[in-house]
Amino acid sequence: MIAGSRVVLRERRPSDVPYAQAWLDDVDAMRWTLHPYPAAPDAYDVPGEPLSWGLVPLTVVDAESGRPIGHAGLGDMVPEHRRALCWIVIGDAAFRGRGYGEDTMRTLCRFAFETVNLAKVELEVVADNAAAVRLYERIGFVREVTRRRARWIEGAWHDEHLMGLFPEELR
Amino acid sequence: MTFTGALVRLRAMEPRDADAQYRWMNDLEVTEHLGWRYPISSLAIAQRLDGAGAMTFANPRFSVERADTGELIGYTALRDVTPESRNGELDLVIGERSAWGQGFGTDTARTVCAFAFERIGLHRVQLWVVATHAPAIRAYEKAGFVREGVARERFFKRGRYHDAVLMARLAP
Repeated sequence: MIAGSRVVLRERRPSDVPYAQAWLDDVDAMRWTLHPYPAAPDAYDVPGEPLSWGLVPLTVVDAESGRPIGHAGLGDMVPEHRRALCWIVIGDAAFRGRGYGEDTMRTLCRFAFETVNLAKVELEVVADNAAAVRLYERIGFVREVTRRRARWIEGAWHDEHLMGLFPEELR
Repeated sequence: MTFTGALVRLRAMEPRDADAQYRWMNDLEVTEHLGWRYPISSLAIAQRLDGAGAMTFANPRFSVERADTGELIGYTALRDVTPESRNGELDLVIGERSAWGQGFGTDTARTVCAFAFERIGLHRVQLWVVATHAPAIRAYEKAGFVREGVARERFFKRGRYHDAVLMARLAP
């Protein structure tokens, strides 16, 4: 369990699946993600093995109530270069726009640096997802690359930023 | 691609290294100070070598050649490499008797440490050596390893227990 101030990041559990199904079916939650298709019933992967280096998928729960509100994690870890890609989805609409995402991201990055010993965390975000870009920048992420027309979403092209964060930049 | 020190070259293991490894691992004088204690078949050597050339962060391993003649003289590996703590355990054997006592072991240790620290970013390389193996301890000290402690009667060979020395080198 990884404690933030408003959220707790913990291992995924089978009991999270009904919540996750609702997030995956929520058009607003999924608009800027990479998944253009309706989610299959088993789309929320609950690993049977203990988590270890490589891929760390987590469920985000509200620290106060313990309710699952989204998911986040680290993947594509490169041991030689000590970097990983991270992701975050606050799937429960009632918890959006209230600082839960920011706390989740900060908590995830602190875990990446202090526990996993990564030297850099990167992410990919659709450039038009302005709220997310602002949130990442508040935490310290820097826009490093913009890939033009990198994503086709709902009938239009969108650019995509690659953003990166070093330990000393996290705030 | 090879990694070159002052006296040796480290390269990927090849199937053609099997004969030399078979000789070393069945040579009681070579294995005297090592954990190897059972006779080993050429089939087991071949299986050990199968895929050994494909290295990842978790298991770098090399055949050691003399830089001057290209002769195969030993092998070295990093085991139990942990990506979070960035530690590795060093294996090093100069199996060719004609190459003993000339600094090849020291240079191999230096070269594999350079690989560990500069190439894949490890923080610490450690090894265990039996306390009676004075030339190896001297070689590791020359290569920058520091004695960190002695584990009493950790190693059983030749009918009795021997102490084992833990040595380690940290990234510069």
